[in-house]
Amino acid sequence: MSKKEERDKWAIAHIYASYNDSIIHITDITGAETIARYSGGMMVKADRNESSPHAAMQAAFQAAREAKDKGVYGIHIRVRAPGGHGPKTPGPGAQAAIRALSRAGLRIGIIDEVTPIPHDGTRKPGGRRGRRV
Amino acid sequence: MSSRSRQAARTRDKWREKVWYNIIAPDYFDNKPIGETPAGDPSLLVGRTVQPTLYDITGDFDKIHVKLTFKILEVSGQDAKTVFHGHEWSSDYLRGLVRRGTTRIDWIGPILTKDDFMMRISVIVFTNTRAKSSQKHSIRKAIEKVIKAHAKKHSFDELVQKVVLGDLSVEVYEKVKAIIPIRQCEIRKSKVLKAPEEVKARRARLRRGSGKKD
Repeated sequence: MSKKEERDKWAIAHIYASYNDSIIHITDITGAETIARYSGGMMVKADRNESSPHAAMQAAFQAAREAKDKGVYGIHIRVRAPGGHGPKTPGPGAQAAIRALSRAGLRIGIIDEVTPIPHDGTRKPGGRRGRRV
Repeated sequence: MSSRSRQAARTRDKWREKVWYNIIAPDYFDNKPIGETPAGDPSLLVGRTVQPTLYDITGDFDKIHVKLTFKILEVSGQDAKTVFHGHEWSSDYLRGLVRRGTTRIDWIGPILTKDDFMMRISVIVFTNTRAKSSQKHSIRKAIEKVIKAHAKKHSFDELVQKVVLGDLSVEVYEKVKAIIPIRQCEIRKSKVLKAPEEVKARRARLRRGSGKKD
């Protein structure tokens, strides 16, 4: 991938950022082997802060540290939102997580958006009159 | 001594045991190394897929939006050999091309190569002005004709190179240009559906089925 001979292990950071949580999952380039996995919920106490940028940043730092310990030099990033019939824009944690990963000293390769978009699927929950709280 | 500490020790050991294997691109992409993947056992590697961009393989920066998929087929020593399994444009590049007042015309269809690989190819055409539906129909027909003719002529390896590096789309462009002025014509996506063995088996089954009816 890169031209250097040594220290050129690349990995993929899968960032799942919803409005309820953000998960940072670093795998090898095939996506088959996990290197590190942390979520916003592991960093904060209150449930409502799980998706906050701060929690995502903490999680990304933790994940980056573990990845670097295992010899990862750079990462490609795949951001996704819940998708499907849910929201299709990444939550507040995505930006913060990407920033934290680059601040942690990992080289950033390609940043990709991989939100699953349905080519027409199931109906969104809530019914015709919307969700009545 | 608690169960948690024992578990942590076990997982760490597992990671240490893993060996990093080099992933090598197929012959028709110059056997370029794509990257590395760890595995505890070589047999676990088979079937994993990698998605490098065309930029990684050719060094052409204009092609960074093309994502190739390679699937690991066999492992020899430290090297994992791959086969081409498809390619796709990144979604944001495609979204940037779609504009108002012009027409986007898609053709998607299965093709059979000379050596019996079944592939699905998606061609996309962007016109300069809005196209009538009669023009759309004739464009799709023209695309199908060119692509099917080429598929019959070439083996899988040659066809993959033509599809990915853009030789095939140039020929389609020449044919479609005569129908309506177009802005862009390229192969957006491809996918390997069936290997020759499967295609042959299916053909044999069909022949047997039709023989019984007679």
